Amino acid sequence: MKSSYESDVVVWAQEQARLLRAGQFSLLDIEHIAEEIEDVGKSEKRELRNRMSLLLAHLLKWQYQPERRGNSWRRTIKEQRKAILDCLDETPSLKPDMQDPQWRERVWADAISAVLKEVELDNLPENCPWFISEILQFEFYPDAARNN
Amino acid sequence: MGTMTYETDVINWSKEQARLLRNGQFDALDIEHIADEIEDVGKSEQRELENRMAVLLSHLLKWQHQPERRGSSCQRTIKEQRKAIARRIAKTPSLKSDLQDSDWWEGVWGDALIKAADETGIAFDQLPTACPWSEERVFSDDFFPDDCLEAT
Repeated sequence: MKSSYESDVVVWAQEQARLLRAGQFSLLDIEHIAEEIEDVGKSEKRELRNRMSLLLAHLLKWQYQPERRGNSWRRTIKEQRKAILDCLDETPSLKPDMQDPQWRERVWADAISAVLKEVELDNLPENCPWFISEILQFEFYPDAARNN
Repeated sequence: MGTMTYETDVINWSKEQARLLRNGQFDALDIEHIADEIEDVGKSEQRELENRMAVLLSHLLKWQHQPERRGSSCQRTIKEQRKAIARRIAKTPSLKSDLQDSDWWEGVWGDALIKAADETGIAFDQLPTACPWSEERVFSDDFFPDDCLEAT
């Protein structure tokens, strides 16, 4: 029995994968499969954005809450850097995204709102103060924020 | 044969495969990777449920362990996650079977502990190693756990 994309996508996915592997192309739900395959590309982009904003949020917390610095934040920063470098390595066409000012704005805004969800800080910078090369460098941890 | 392979650049691969599918050029498709990705559509739905559960449980933990920081923001997050989880399960009924799996709860609880510890600074060993609340309570709209000193 055919389960539809709308009624249960988990069951639909298992069934469509089976039909694909069995070569039963006439039974496939082509349009939904095509949309989902297009989405594979989009989800790579989304993953890069999410990881980058998580990384930036932790760099901000590191800078603005020096008293709460610890191994847990350090681990998150390191893990996100590694994962981002892996993403870029596996999908080189992601690189231009990081040069796009709109992309940067969006990622920065996500980072700021993630930080503000956890703690009230009113002196966060309006724009990202770091270069991409710094952000992704394993040794880089921003100094405590001074009153500038 | 397509020029873009899945391994060299998945974004370009996905555009090309979608085009071939819509044109009915089944002979030229990269079937195995398409099938893997379609299976992953189901898995990502399951992952989304896991993520939301971890957020919900971590906020219940924060509620319980940091009574001094209880506020409308934490309460709102708990409500929103409960609603979102109920919506997802209604939309994809087969997700219910995940909730019957004890390994699933163990994984979700582990994620919740990491989140709660990361966001509050509470040490891991002060938090329970397994979820102390029944499924019914976790999803019940008016359940907010009392302080740890009181019985749960």
